[in-house]
Amino acid sequence: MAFFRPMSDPGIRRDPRTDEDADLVARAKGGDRRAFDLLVERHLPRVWRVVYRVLRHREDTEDVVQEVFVTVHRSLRDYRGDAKLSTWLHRIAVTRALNHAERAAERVRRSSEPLEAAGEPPATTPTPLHALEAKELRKRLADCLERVPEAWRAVLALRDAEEMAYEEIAAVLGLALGTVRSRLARARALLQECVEAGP
Amino acid sequence: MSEPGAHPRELISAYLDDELAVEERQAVDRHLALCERCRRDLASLKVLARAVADEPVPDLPPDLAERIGRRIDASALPFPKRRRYLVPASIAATIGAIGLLAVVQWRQRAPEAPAPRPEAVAEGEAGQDRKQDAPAQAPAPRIENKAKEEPERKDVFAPVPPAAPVPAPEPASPPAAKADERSYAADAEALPAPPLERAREVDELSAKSVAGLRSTGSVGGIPNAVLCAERWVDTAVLATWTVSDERSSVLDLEGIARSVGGRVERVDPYPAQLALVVPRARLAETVAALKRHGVTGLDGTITPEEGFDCVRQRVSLTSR
Repeated sequence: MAFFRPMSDPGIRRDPRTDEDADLVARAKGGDRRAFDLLVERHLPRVWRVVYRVLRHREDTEDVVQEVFVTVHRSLRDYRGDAKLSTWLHRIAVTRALNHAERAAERVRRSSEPLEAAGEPPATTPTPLHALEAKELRKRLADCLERVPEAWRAVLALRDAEEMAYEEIAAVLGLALGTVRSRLARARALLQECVEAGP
Repeated sequence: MSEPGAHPRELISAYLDDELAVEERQAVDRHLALCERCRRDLASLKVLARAVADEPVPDLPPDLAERIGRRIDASALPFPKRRRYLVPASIAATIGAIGLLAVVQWRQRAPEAPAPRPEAVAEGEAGQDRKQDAPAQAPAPRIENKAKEEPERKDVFAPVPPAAPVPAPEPASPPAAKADERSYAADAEALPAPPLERAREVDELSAKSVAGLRSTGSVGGIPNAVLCAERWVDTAVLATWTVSDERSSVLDLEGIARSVGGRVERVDPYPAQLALVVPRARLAETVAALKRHGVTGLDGTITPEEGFDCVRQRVSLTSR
């Protein structure tokens, strides 16, 4: 029928340099299950890290990561290669994780109140972070990350842990470049204020 | 530059990531040279970023990939439906041909029947007109005897011309044709005259949909091709629709999609699945329309991921 146009849109841009998964994707689209399993193997560790850094809960992360790859398998046919596979996959992963966090909001395990958005830091001289012992810093950071909104944790995870460029973060989160920059700055300011303030 | 309001915190954060344009970076350099507080902030952000990166993450469960594989296997439900459509295609074609013969015979015998109620006459003529239209343009296999279960559906969709010709069914073998012809003719004669109210019960949304199909392929002046053409997220809900006429049902779905500014596409490799790709804001409306048309499996609250302007809802068509 006329409205079932072929998926091979001539406007699609493809960058063979960046998409090392192209061959596996093509094979997986053709029904090659082994190729899809290889894609899972290649991307699972990073997806696991990102989802965990957003959710900070092991069991929830296991559930969400499984959902992510089931969704990827189901939707792979419609992946056109406009974005890198990893970008597309991480977008699914982060949005799934944020959805999960939202659904779980009412059964929050955390007792701490969430942090409010940071304004300007207090005028008093804060505790310099580099002066903190590593153990104390890790403890404070973990406590504070628990209280940061998941959406901000996502941007921190993608930038600081996964070292994605702002442009890729924007693609993963579906945000404008400027929004990524401002959100990251706010998240860092919030975290800095919390960690410096201490317990 | 040393007053609190003048500290370019966002720029300093981006400076840390080397994500500034040259001019911005130079401006931050100049500011840092004069502002001790921002230098301290930059140092703290570096420590913080390193700490975030180094935060421990639990080891990947060794069997997680295997579990993912099992879940994928378990969720691959559409494959049996594919076979269901492919294997009995010739059977469906045969039944369709028999059904057509039955309808023709029924029409030929109709004038001999006792005079029905006036509204039934009106309805019957309308029904005959519709039935003549569709097979004449595309003799697709139809299971006519199922029409009595949902006669009103054809009221809505029968006038729509098919978008593409469908191959004619294989001719049935003569003995089988005779046997089934009687059966289908009997069913057709047994059809009760639908009440006039039901004939008028045209779903408003579907009417719009039909109008949309006859249009030049645009909704609100925007070509359909650009609506939800690229990015969408699947609802992760596979709805089911048991239909008696697949072709009409496809048009039905496309009408629903277009009426909310979306489109319909096949879901490869599942020939029995169609997907409505619609604007996120119109998802609830789409789901409501699907439910009204008898699509099942949509009872749960659908909460597709944020960040996508368009949403894909798949519907698996099952032939009665």
